[in-house]
Amino acid sequence: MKFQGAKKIHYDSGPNMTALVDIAMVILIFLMLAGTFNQMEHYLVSDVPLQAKGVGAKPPEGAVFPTKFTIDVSEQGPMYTVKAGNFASVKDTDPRRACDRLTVQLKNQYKNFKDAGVKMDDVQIIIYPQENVTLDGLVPAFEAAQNAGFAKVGFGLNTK
Amino acid sequence: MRRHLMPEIREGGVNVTPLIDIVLCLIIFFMLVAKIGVDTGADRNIDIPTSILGTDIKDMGNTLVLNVVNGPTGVPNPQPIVTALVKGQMQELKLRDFYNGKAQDQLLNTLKLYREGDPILKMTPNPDFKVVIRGDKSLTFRFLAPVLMDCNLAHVKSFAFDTKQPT
Repeated sequence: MKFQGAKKIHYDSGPNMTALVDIAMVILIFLMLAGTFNQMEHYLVSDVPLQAKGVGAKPPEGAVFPTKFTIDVSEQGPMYTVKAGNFASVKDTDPRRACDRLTVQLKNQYKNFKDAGVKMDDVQIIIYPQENVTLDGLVPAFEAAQNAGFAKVGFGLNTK
Repeated sequence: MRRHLMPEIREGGVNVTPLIDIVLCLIIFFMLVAKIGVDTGADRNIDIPTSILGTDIKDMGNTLVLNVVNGPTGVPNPQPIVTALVKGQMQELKLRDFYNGKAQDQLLNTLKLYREGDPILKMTPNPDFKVVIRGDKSLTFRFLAPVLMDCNLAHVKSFAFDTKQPT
């Protein structure tokens, strides 16, 4: 007596795709490993030219000056100090913590300017760092100014 | 007479068609998104500072990435070490160099070349030229200031600090 087994599922044969899958997988893994996506980096952009204290000629008559104030940044030992104009001064051992506090004060100043009717697009903040201040200490000050809403942030050079 | 027909080939297995579809879609995606072979000249060994804020520069073709690290101290006129990818070659751009008794400002000249162009080298003036400063987090302002000064002298409208996002 002949027993009939369960019917097998059959697929129509076609080109062998195994090699294609192998190569496609290799290409995929290569692209995933080799590709740089730059997602972890971004840029702090400044459109304000470098300023220098105490240099330059007499400005032409009728010249319009932008509203600007300065942020002095200094590092003495472990202490990091930022002074913004005559309205804010923050000291801390951690630059980021200091600049978080500076941001709050700069935001108040931003509001004061706005309430006084100052055109905010014209306001410039110039950061004057001491020579020994590192980029790691400059970036938080730059960020604090931008975070407070000031769009034009630049750097200045002490020429004394 | 009975004819011998070719036996019908039947093969059982997993249907890989959706797998291939997805894999090929992923390959196309990675080919479009991944920037393989695009070298901006950024030195990946430099430990850049971290920032929460930051924007993306869409037009990297108009930029020159300057890798800046502290130079040697204790020498007269200390200078930062600046490297950049200029005309397809990684070069050190000295701020002031003496060649045949003449002072040369390599960084300033390079920035001017990119900004103002050169008809001999068939480089057109580029008013939108930007500088990206990829500075080490320990880079002091003493070494950064001359680089910013040269950007100013070359009439570079804007510069940007390359920073990494906090993890």
